Amino acid sequence: MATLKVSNLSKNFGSTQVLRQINLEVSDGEFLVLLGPSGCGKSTLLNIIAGLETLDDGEISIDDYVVNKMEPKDRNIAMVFQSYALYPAMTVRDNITFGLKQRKVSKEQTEKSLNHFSKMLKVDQLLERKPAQLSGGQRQRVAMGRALVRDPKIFLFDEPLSNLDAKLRVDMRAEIKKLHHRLGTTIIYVTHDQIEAMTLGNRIAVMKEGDIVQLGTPREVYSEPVNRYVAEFIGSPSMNFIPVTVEARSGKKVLTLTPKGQSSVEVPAPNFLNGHEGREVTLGLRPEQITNLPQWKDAIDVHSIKIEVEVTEPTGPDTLVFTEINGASVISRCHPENMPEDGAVMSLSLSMSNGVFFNPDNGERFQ
Amino acid sequence: MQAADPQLQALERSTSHKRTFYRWLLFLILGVFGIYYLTPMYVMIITSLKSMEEIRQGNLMTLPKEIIFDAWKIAWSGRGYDAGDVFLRPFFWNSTKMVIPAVFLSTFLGALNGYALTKWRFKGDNMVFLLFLFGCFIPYQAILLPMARTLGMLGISNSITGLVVVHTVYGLSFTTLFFRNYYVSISDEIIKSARIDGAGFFKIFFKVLLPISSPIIVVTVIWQFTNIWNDFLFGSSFSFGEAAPIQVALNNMVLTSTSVKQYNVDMAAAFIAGFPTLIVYILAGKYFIRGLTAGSVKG
Repeated sequence: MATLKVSNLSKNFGSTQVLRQINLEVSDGEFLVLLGPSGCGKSTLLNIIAGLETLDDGEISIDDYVVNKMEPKDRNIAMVFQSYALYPAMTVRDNITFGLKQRKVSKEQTEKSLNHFSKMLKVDQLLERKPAQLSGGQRQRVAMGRALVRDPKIFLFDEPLSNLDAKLRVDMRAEIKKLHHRLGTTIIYVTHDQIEAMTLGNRIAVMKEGDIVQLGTPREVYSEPVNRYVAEFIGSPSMNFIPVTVEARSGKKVLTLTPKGQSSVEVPAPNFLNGHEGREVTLGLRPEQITNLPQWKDAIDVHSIKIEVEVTEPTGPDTLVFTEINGASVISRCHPENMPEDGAVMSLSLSMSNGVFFNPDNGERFQ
Repeated sequence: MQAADPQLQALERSTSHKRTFYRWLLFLILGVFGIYYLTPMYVMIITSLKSMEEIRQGNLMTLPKEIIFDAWKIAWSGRGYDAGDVFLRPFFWNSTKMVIPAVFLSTFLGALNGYALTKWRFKGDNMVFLLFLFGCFIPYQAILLPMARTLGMLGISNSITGLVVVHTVYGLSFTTLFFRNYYVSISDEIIKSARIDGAGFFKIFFKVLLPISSPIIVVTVIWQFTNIWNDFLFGSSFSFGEAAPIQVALNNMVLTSTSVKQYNVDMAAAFIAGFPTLIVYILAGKYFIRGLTAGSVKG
């Protein structure tokens, strides 16, 4: 049970700054996800928290105690790695209990913890095997067992699911979430997979080039992204970005949307765009906000629009329709039944109430 | 099914004839080279089993009329009189006493170096490795004099201990190179994991890394054993008389005999001197090949 505080943390590799003035607070029992593309510094941050890398500036405290100069083993943390990092020459039993032996935990206590956690992770039948004789999923369980058995204050996960195949990844994801609910420990989890971040985290820190761009709940980063980078990174398929011009029409602000080869539709512009008349802004709409699904029927600020179907992609639960609005290619999420042929015209409803607007110059969101 | 096209049948026949021909040609060439390489050993063995009389009269290649082991006995334990009788037994043990600690020390230190250079990176570690690499290319002749001075100052010249030190120092470049290249392919995350688990520098080395190093240990041991056992230059420069290793003794035995050349004894002695490396290679040869390529492919 622990809290973690990172303040003004910076790190350089030679002349490149990989982490810039990072500030982060993780409360007791929280599941925080560090999300970003490779090279954004998320793994370095995790390694610094673990004590495996040094920091150049700033402070890290666990339970209000500054641990900057503490060895990894004394920080009372446990880490699960992408490559599992099991000790190849040891059996599963020795792998799991290695940390306890280093800490001179009594034999009975070791045996008790081993039994408890190997049963919980369903590796109790594999204790005498070597890592090479295990499947990827089993190895990952053993790696988690090795972390759990020490009962650390904070768990650090470094892309633990990246080496698993798609189905196993979904299963293990759910198991990690259940584990967190059951044990209630503080977890910091690094991933580049936005779905993992959305499904697992209490909060997500979206990182870019050594900065935390946005820190918020999954809902916040999804529907209220602070800039175009976050909006683009979260959600699959990605958000649609449509260039529109704010126009003043008989005392009101309107935006004109012109689907390729179809007649234009005028929609009212939100109030925060006042003062931007005549200017081009970027409208961000999620694929599910341009749809023929029935959910928008009674919603406010919904507009009907006719589009030409370029191509369709059935995904199963719904079908993605590709088209073009204002010269930008747009993906819409539609009901899979009664899909028109490619090239046909179909009518969709477009929900502007959840639309977001970005400054095309710097990508910041208007609000 | 229709009868096959006669043209196709002819083509098939000629292809199969060609294949048989090339196969036989291949084996013929391999056989010729095999014989070429094995002939010296064949001559050595049969000559060592002949009497001097037979050697003088007969042909180099003919099998002995009668197999006699006298030459082997003389080469190993001498003729039984004191003055000027050089035989290999004491020098064989000299070499053994030199080669075992030297191989062990150079392999162990090389492993430790490789571990530190790959898993505990420090400022300038690549420079240090480059200097080690440089050591691989220094010709041994160039360091004979300074080394002789050093051994003299340490008070271990003309002793087995001195030779152990020389071979350990000059083996380090190669053993470090071997282990460094092997450990580079082992995931750093394993080391990180062990550090978090609470293991220190040596604990990680002995408990985590050494147990998975057997392929490269075998390579290093064979390499070092062969080099040190077969070394003549250091042996002849830094030792003489009773402290000499077997290769030096072999040289003395063959060159210093005043009477008629005892070819059978010379051959037997040369064979004895080369025997241990042959055994090591036969026993561990397959690991040698495996270990040489182990670092190159991950997983």
